[in-house]
Amino acid sequence: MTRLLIPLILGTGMMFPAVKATDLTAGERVFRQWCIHCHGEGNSGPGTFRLAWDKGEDKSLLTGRADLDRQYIRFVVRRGLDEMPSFRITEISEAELNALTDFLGR
Amino acid sequence: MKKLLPPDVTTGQFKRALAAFREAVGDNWVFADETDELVSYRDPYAIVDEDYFRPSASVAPDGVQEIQAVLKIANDFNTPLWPISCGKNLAYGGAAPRLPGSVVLDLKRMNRVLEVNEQFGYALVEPGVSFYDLYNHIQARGIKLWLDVPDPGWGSVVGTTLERGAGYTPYGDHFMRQCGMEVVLADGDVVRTGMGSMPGNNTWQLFKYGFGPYHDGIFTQSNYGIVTKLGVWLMPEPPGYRPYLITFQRDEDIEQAVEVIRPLKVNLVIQNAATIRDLHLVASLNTSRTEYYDGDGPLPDRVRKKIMADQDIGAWNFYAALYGPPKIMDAHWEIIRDAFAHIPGARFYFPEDRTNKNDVLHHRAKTMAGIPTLTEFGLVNWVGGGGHIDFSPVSPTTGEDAIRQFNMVKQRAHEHGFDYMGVFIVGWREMHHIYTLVFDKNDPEKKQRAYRLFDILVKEAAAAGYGEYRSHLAFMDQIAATYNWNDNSLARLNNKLKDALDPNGILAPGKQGIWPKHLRENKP
Repeated sequence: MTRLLIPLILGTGMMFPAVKATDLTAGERVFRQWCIHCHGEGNSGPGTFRLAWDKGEDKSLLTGRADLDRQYIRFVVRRGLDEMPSFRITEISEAELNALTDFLGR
Repeated sequence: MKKLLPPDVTTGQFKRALAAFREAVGDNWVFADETDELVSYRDPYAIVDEDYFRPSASVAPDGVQEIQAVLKIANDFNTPLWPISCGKNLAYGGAAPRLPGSVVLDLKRMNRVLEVNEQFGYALVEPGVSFYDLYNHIQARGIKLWLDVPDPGWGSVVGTTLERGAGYTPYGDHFMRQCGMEVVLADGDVVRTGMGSMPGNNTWQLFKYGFGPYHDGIFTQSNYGIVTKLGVWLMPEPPGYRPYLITFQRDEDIEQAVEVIRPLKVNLVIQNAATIRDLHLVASLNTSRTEYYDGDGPLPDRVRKKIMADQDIGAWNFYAALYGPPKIMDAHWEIIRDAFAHIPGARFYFPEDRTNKNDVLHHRAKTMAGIPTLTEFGLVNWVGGGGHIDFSPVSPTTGEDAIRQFNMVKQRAHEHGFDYMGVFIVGWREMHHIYTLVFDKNDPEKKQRAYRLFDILVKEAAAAGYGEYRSHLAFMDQIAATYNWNDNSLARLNNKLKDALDPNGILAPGKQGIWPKHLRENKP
């Protein structure tokens, strides 16, 4: 029987690759704070999983999309869509939402 | 859409109340526009008409003084307030109020981690602090403490504790690990509970009870005050950690498995709030129903067996973990393995045995180590359409009760065309049995069917002597009414407290079936 001790688990548990916050654009920071947990790579992101199912693997990652309309992003963030709940202004401010649409939108 | 107002409040009074709120917290933090602002305060997975549980406005104070100002306005204008922390209590109504037309008191801006004490293992936080926030705070400082997290990591530490939610480490009973509160009462008075009421005392987060009556419990699942600070105990990082999975091949194995669990749990050999998950719940994190079956009704047995084989999972799957020095873990494991080995077909796994990187044991390994994720949200992908609501009866830790609850729920779920998707979360002497009813919220017929099923489950569980520990907005009254011993004496006590602490009934009317006097006879 092999044993798994803490360092291995914590090593797999770090949620974000090591990137300095200052190296990120404002939109990337919003994405990493609010979106990446569902829309990150792999099946552990329920949003990625769902998009792969609905639209195909090539459109499963939001960060790889070139077809996301800014108004559509805004609409989905504020209203939610199917499984995805909405996000309030107290969570993602208007300025942050604008930055996010700059980051993800075409 | 017609503008919704609080009950018995005129348009003119409401406008004056909003103006006063704006003066109290600033123009930027009062929201009343239905289209752009309030739409994100709706129940995200509504099981009734999604327009029903909606607020008239939202106000977002930052700090106790602003809350006091808001309370005074609410009392002056008879405007009900619905406090939320992070608003992510999603399967139970999210940020939406029980009383339509309430003003949501959105505490998300109060998101400060006030203290993390490594020596004693505790944190003091405000309501807007999520598990991600606290985790990142601790990691950034290299503090050797572990959180206990619920499945959705974006939930509020304060809100989850006040809802008496569960996590999965040895600190899985959140309210049991709570120590010290600051509460703003409906009249604006501010109270610190326990040792916090003594100026200069340094044990507010160390000793729960203080001197005199112990009040903290009445501010959980209630509408008696607004909790603005909360202490939570955190687990020191253990010297070793080893998550594991034991699978059982037959539905009926739940009975024997729970009989094995009880003595191991009460003797602390099983250290954490472990879970026994049925195959649908496990499979839903990696696949969707339609990949295996596109017919109506519950999955046929042949399909369930195919999923079990494909994912190398059981009809039931026990996820737990060992914590401590390796010698202690080895000793515990030997006892656990030998006890479960008596169940025919039981199989034992550690993470390194599960080669699929998306295997659920890898996900649970994070959760049982207090690392927040949102992976569990994948369960809503099982049928698509996003709706889900949790039916949460409490079961004694006996095999007889577990199989009885499982069969009751499964039978009714199948009759209504839904799969059984459930988990038993192992507490100290009971289990939270969570049946996750997933439905397509965009399909009115399925939504109505889900509502009827839930309604029947509450009634039949109560008739069998089982009560739910938590509830969606739509069923708060019904479930509260099942706690009716001695001609509803608990409800009478709740009402006496409500009338004494909040005579105008402005705080969260209807929360957990507790209504202010003027709404008690005609509950909306």
